[in-house]
Amino acid sequence: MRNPTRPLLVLHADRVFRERLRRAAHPRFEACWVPDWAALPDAVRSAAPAGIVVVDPYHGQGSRGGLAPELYSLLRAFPSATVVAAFSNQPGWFHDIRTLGEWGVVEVIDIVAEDTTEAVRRRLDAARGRPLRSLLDRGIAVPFPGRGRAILDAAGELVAVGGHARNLAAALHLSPATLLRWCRSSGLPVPRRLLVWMRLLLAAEMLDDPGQTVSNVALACGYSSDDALRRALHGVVQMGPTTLRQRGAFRVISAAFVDALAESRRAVEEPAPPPPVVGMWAGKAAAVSRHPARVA
Amino acid sequence: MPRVVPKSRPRTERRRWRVPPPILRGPEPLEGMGVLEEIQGEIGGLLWRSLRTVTLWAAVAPSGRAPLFAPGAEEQRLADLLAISPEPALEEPLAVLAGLLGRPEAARADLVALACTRIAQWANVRGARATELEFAQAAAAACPGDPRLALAVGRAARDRAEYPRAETWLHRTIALARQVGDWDSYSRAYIALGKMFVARGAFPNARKNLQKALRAAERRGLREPQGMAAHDLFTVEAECDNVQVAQDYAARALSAYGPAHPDLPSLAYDVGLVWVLQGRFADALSVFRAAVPRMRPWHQPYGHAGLARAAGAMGEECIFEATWQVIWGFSDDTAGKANALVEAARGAASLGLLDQAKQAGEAAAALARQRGQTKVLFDAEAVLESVQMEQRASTSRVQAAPASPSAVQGSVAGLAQQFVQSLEAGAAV
Repeated sequence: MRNPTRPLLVLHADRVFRERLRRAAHPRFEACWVPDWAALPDAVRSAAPAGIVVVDPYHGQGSRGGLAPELYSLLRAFPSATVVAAFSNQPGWFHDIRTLGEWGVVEVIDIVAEDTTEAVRRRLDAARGRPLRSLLDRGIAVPFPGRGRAILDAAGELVAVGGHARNLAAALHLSPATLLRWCRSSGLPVPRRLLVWMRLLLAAEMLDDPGQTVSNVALACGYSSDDALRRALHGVVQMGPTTLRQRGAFRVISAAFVDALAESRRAVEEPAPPPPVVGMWAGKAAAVSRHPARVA
Repeated sequence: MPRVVPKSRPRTERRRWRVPPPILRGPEPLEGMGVLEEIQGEIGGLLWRSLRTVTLWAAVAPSGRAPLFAPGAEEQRLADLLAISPEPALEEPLAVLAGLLGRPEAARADLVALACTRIAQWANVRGARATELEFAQAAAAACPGDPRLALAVGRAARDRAEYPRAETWLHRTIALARQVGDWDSYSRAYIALGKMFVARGAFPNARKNLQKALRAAERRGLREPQGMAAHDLFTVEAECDNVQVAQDYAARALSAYGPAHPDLPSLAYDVGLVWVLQGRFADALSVFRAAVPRMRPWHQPYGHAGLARAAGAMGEECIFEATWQVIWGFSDDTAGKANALVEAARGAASLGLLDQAKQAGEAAAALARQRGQTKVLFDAEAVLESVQMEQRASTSRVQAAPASPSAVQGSVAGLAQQFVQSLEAGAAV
């Protein structure tokens, strides 16, 4: 799986914070400064969709105050964009936080307390897997046991970073064998297959965003090219990206994922067939037990 | 050739249990959004910032905490705290959490957890469930090896109907409790899981977990968890119509609780209600009469509901009249008043007081409609229908006679007597 450096688009007037952001992002992100709201949509469109956008939600508001309406427009135009709001003390900020959450901002950096490289790095890490996780909450209407949901959440966060089954086990502080056993008992596909599904779901979510090209989506999700993504989609839903876009990519892929989950669950619930009787015991009465007490 | 005896595992060696990963986030789009939704104004903002401070601090290994927060952040937070001047119950915990910003590497995890727990308790009293859950979780994140803190998160998540999240925290509690030998938390986590499955209607799972809780509590001689587990198992078996088994559990719960336990009246009420549904009104009436005066204020409407129904069915007009007056005296805002009115209507119908039955049934229907209680509305309409058809009402009066004699009935009378004696002894204490 490819794990390219992701773009980090920054629209913020505070130079000290920008420098802090650059240090925190290095080397996983490539920081890119955006001068104003007008330039931001083009920057988001041309950047790979797995990037992160860090904005000052009050940027350019001056004496008017309040949240910038351009941020709302951006989130409507690019619903799959991962946007982090970074702000310091503003009058009435605690009302605005709720609004930002409703608009689709996935994380907040509180510059008053968290203006350090370590804190900013943590916040960026937390933001990465968030969009797919919230989509899973909304889109996958399967009642999971708690353990299954925890594995699914971790897989959703891991796939945004790029990782393998062993990384998923490490993220959950489990051995690969335990993770495999827990996946089976929770009615989930095996870890490797689960991560394949997560990548496809992430790709489907990005395909639903009209601002993203197929190649950008493929590269952002760790596929080597748009052909690789096309093959993966054909393997699951027998459709290419264009058809999938027309039919609602996330809806179609999530429905296929729910079917796959049902199949995994059936495999857990149905008892395995008894092993065939071969050799010297074939055709003879089964031995019950050697212990007389048990026979009784 | 000498026989090789395989070495058995030494008894002191403990099996390693995996602690399951918990779910840390609910459906809210931003971390801690529930706090801002429940606690309005600047104090909500301060709580939200403090919560995020703790979760960030807890997510970083102790060796990496020194450069976590910006210089001057503590002074700024303390200035905000002084400017807002929150309630005294919050002031000290928030000051402790502000101290994290100044010297994060030197902060004591147990003190941070205590501060978060106090804020969670404050939120619980205010009915701010999301805030309670978030701070309980922050406390558990600060001290990740403490099963009691994990149990508090599991319970808070269960009360908010976030069942997968609650399940992961309760399983975590079980694993942690087993590691440190905290058998009280271990039993209570299984009880909490059982209650959660009862709420979801998954009775076989509930039974399995509650039986584990009961076994563990009995093995360790923990009276309270033993009583709680047996009480909940009684509910499960009664729901599954396993009358004899349910009764055995009720007797075990009664013995484990003892006369002075505050949950004894609730158990007596639950047992009485099951007897009412079985038509054993005489036993139910004696238990309700002893239990209702000791029930907690918010359970009073339910207690009086049972009392009215049983008194009506037994033809005890004086008791019914007194209960009728009490039920009408409850405010319309009181939870359970609509249920109480339905039962009062049934009791009145049993006594042949059809006008009163109709009056109570109509009031119950109106209240249930107003409060969106569909099941109560359905019950009220059924009662009204039966009142309109007098013939049916008289038939139900005949059916209200005690059920057929059996071995169960004899034990019911004995159990009822035990309940009355325990409740009276508790009242004397």
